[in-house]
Amino acid sequence: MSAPANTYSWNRQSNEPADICLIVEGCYPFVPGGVSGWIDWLIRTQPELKFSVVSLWPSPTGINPRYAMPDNVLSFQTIYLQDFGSSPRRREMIPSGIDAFSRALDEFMRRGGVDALAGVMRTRAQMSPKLSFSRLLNGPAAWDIVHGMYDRRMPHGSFLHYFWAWRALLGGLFATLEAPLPKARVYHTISTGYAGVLAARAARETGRPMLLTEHGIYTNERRIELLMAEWVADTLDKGHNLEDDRTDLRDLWIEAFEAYARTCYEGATEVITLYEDNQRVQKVLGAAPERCRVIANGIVVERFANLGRAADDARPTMALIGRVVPIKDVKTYIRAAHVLRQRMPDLRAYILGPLDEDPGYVDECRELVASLSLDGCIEFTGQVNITQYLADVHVVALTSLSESQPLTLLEAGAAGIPFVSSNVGSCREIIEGRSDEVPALGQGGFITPVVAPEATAAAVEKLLRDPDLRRSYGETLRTRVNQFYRSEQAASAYRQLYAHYRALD
Amino acid sequence: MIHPGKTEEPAEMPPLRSTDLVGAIGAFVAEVALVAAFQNSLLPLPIAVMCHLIVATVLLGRYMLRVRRKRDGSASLLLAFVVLVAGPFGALGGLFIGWLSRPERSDVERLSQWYARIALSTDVSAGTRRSDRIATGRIANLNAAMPHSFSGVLEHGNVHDKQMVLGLIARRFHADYLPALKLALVSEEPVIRVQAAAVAAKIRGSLAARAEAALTAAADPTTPVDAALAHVAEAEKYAASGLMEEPDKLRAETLIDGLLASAVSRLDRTRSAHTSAAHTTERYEARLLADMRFADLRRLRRARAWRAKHGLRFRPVARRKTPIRSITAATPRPEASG
Repeated sequence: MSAPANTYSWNRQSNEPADICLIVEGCYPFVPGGVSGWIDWLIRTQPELKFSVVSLWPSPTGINPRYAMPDNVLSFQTIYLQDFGSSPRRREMIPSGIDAFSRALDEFMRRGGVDALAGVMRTRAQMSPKLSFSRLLNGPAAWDIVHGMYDRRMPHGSFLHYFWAWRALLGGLFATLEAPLPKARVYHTISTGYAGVLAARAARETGRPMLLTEHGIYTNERRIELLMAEWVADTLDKGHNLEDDRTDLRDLWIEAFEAYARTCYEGATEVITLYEDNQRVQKVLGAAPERCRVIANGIVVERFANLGRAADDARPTMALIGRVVPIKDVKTYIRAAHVLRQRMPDLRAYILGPLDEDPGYVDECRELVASLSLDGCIEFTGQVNITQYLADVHVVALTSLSESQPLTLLEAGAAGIPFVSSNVGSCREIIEGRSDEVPALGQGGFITPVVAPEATAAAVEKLLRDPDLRRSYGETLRTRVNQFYRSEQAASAYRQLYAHYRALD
Repeated sequence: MIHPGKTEEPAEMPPLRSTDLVGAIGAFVAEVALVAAFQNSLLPLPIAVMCHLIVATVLLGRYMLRVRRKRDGSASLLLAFVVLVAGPFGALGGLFIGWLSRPERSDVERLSQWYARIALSTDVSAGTRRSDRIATGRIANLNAAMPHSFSGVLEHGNVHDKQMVLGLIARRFHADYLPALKLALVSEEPVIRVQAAAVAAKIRGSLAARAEAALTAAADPTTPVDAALAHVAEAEKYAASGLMEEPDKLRAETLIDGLLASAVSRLDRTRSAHTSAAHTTERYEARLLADMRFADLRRLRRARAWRAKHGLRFRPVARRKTPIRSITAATPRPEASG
């Protein structure tokens, strides 16, 4: 079978089914770091398994892969969501059953779920003549579908805006529903969204188990983006009323992503995330509690075990480890350094991380440093080997606006350095311990509110002024990381999961 | 009236489709053959009429098929009718109609005008726009309950409503929403904290510009005193938000001091605004106290006591245009005499 025009694929060996089919959206292998790094780690820590990878993208990017494909990857396939099909070459008949298909789509986009997905596939199969999804989106039948859905869903709103939103949403959905599926024993998606729909479809069509691992909560990230987005027009005037139930474009987009997530959660045999707070959100969004589990990420702790410690009488030093980008809120760190320097004039504050991702933001940070006269205090190092710096650092601080499970926290912990972090992602869990930690190890640092330089400064100061507290918190963090956040533990947890589900017939 | 929700098509004759044209040519050939056969006595009249009716019925069937598929069948119906009435001449007429209604380049322009009109990208008056929104049911629901307080929702609402409120704060930011945003930044819900941080990051970059705009408006000598005070109060909220960059905050606070002092001076000359004057003076005095500027405070109180003792009345003062850029350079101080 030849791949549709909106896919790109290669096979190392053509007919062998993979053990695991990884389905990823907007990351691996083209974007470095974050989830892509995790996927590369996952494949390489399971060398005995054969993988296939399906990577979903809005459209061809022309970016070269940032990761070399490991030898145990059998096939790689991209699916382009917004580059889906083209107009038919000649005029086509409108198939019978188009109204039922339109209603089934409507139900799926509103509520989602595996049954609703099955309804879409069934009503499409019942059409006569049966048209491909790309012809349904780009041919004359599209008018009947969009018209029906608009009348039912958003009759008050602007049809033109609805039409383009409909094209974007259904283009992605149809691309997902029409793409060829690699054969595999287990399907594993790394997010909900379109990747989640594809995984749910795979589970339904093949009867094989499907796993979901979410680092951040995709639906929530999309919702936040959409609620703040200026590019989504408000075609209805709802004022400040939260109870106006008329559907506008923003609602349409949010509902669609929630429906996709619900479909994925329902279809998943296991719903995995990195920490407890995320799991609560997954349950709210439709994940069945009995299928949820936490598998934390890990690091190679030995790399940081013998780095040495900053001497008590050395120049008081704190560090932020991370890219200099807005999401890390480096400005709050700089402001915290400003507050702290007034109390500790010989303070040194490192910013250890790449400067090339957002040069505009880096310039703003440098300007802030200059305007606060912190030139002798703050040092931007660029990308460095952090093991060469950690031995001089008394406290590591993180002021991010959003994180899932930051590796820098684990690395500082493995080196026995206490940590001050904004209250994001799993930072509290790592610094203070999970609710089910037995025996409870205690604190490994301090948690502060987001965008709170005074609080960050106060917490860092407490640790800088009290060597005993610093050592005690550093040891606690080291113990916790050694016990719960080792790379081999995470790899072993996935190995067991895969072995269990591969064996199912 | 414009109805952007309902797509009016440009008024024009529906074009014959290519299948209609094939039908018209076929009908013409068939009708000519029938007439010729009848004239040459090859067909009796009833058979010729019946064949004629069959040709028209075939064309009518084409129309019905289009209607069943919810397509525009008016051109097909017209062709069937003219063939029924005028035989080969009707078919010729159908071909002529097809030639007349052939797509032309000018259609593109008309279509783009039509599209611009329904997309509301053409100039329409505010009244037309408003009436259109009323007609299409897109205005605010006047029967809905009163909106809830943002802070109330962020303290006691569910996660969904909290997220909606944060979305509104991000899209329609106002200085009065800052306390609600600060509540959200320390929410127990991780989801809300993350979203609030994203909102804070989004608006933080604009706070300095907003404060500057408010202070520029306040410094304009043509701005009435009460309006100037409102602008200063707005700028104070930005400066106190904890979200402004330190240098911007310091600059804004300096300007706020000067403008408050100036407003006190202007109000003290006005008999008609005793309450506002007292309120503003209190705010200014509180600020001087907080900054430990006791000399300024003593000077202010002496000036007020002196004015009160001598019962000074308002007298107009010559207004001087202050260039915007000079605001940052010169900080007005309370005037010592009325």
